[in-house]
Amino acid sequence: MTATLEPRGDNTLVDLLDRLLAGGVVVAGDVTLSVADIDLVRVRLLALLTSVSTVTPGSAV
Amino acid sequence: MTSPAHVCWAYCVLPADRDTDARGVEGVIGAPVRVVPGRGLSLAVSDLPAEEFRDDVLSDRLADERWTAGLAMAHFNAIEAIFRTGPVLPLRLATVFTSAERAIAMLATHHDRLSEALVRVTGSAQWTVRATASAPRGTDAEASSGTDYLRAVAARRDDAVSRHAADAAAATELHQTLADLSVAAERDTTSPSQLLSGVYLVRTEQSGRFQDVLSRAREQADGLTLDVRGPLAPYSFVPRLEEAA
Repeated sequence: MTATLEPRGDNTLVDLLDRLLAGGVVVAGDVTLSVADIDLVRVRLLALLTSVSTVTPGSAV
Repeated sequence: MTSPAHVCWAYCVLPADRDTDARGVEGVIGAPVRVVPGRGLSLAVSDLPAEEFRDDVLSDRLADERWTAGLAMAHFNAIEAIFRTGPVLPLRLATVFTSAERAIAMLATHHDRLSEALVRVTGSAQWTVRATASAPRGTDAEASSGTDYLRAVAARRDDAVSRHAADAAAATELHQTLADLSVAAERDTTSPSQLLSGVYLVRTEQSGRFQDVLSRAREQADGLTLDVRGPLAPYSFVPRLEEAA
């Protein structure tokens, strides 16, 4: 039970991440991703996280 | 001040009277996190290079899954780090302003509802609980004849049906017990593979009892495998201010 997220390909983390991506306050920023953008990001991230066993933190950025 | 070369990536809203030290908190792309004070509410932000996070660039860059995965992890980890020091309202991933002043103006626009929501989540954390059925018990018995085999298949099927019903009932009972200990609770019933997928907003003083219930449910070994995450910032218990277009 930890609040620190590490990208690992386990399904429960994918669930959690999905919920986090779906959550949060939506406000109009100057750069705001549309709902479609966010959904696309979710789909892509979930696909990545379920298909890759481990993403080395830091390699992503 | 945010220079034109930078945009302002926002993580979460926090009470302005909160003495928050964001030093040492690492944000997206390793940027430092700072707290910009508004009237009654503050915002945790990072100044990021505009050439990488302008809207026309950002959408394209988000197509890079690994880059985006890193972004998401960093966003959530920064929010969690700030949440560990006090109440926050997480903002959706990729909420970006052209300047800190614009970000503060947003806070002013939604001041009342954000303040109300902050009061509601103060002293509480979000827990997520997922329950799935444990692996079936028992092994295939050796069938001495075709009739025995068919009988065994039918028995296993009946077992599976009654076990599923028992698991579903146990999951519903668990949800109800957890919800009773929570300020607010939501159950997601859209995923058929999960017996329970719930989010709970739990007051700190109740979190011990909340975890006791989960421990007992685990010990009962009544067919549920539990995955519990928490305490987390209240991502699922934020006001619906506006839907992005």
